[in-house]
Amino acid sequence: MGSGGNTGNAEMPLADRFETEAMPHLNDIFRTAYRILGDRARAEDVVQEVFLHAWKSFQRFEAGTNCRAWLFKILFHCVHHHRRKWFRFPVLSQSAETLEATLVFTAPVSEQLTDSEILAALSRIPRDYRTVVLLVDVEEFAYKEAADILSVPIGTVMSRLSRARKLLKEQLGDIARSYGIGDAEEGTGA
Amino acid sequence: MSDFDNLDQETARLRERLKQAVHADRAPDHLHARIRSNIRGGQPSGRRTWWQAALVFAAIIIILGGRALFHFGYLLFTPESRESYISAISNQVDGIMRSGLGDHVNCAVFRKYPKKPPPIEVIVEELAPKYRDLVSVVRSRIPQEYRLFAAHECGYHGRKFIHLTFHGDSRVLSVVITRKDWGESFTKADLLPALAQSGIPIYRAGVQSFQIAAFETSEHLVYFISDLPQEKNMDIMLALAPDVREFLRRLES
Repeated sequence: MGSGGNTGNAEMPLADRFETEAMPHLNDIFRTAYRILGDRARAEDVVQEVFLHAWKSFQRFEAGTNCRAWLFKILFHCVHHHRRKWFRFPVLSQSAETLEATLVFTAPVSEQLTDSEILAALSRIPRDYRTVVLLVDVEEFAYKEAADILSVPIGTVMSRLSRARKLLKEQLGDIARSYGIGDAEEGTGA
Repeated sequence: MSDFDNLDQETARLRERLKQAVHADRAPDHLHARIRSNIRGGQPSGRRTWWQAALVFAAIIIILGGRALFHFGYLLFTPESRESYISAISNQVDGIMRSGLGDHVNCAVFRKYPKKPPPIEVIVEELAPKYRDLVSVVRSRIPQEYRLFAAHECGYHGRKFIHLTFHGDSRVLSVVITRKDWGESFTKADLLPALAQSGIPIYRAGVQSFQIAAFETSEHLVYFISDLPQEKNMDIMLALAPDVREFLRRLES
């Protein structure tokens, strides 16, 4: 899983330890921040803040624990803080239950879909669900780790993930249908 | 990765495509540089930066300074706050010491002094003629670094006092004399004299920075109060007491 746990470098100078243990996760933190915020400039600001927070409290970071998960926890703390400062996230007005109820067809993920189409679909699902998908499916955190990072019960992570996948498939299905893929497969299946 | 063991094929495929798409993003190089630059510019907490330490130090100085100023009565601007302060410190000494202490703090400590004292002749005129010789008696026993700034009759809480105030070296010294109320005596106050040299029992008390030395005649209570060290305050009172007692005895006879 690439959790990036501390491997006992307590004797190293602090800056070197930070470089070794925290900095390698910069890309992971950045892309998650970008996918949550939907804006590169804001994501850069938040990531910078995450690493500054991490550095300031790095002496308190317990060697041997999961540095990557710790950084993600700081990330969500910062995102939460900035969300209040900047704006309200454009959360879908429909509740998740309503969205699920309208799922009439789940198309298989077509190989013809591009990365940008998949990312566009991801950006259209509610933020809480998108967050769980990013943590569990993309960054490969275990449910328990994701629950710790988000400070929610593990059951919430599991239910949000299930709904998120359904919503994502629905979004991708719409795109696929726009190519005529879903119609063809539906027709074939009928 | 047990959480993913039971993924159906379709979900697994979705997951892979999603990972592939999201992982195509990388943090820009300038972000790495900016973060490293920030980190080089500051130490993690626990090793506070010098300005943080300076701020904390300044805050401590201000708080302690403020407390000290309040403690010594310099931040008491309103009559109510002054009265409250006098009441608070008076409660820490025996009842018979309170009147002298209260008048000293009220009349001598809460007072602004000119840079130079008025001429002695002017000061003495503030006193009733029968008390004017007291000024020379007291001045002859007070160390010369302390100069007489006031000699007058004043009142505090309905009681009248003869009050001589000396000032110097940032110290305020008072000789405070008052007529005894009926039955009032140090001997009845369950106080033991600290010293009884020259046959004069001298009583002592102290609160905060104030030192009080006192004795009595048949009709008067005499206090010497200052913010000098206790020993020096007592030394001056020992020097003062015989002549002041003699002066008062002449008045009383």
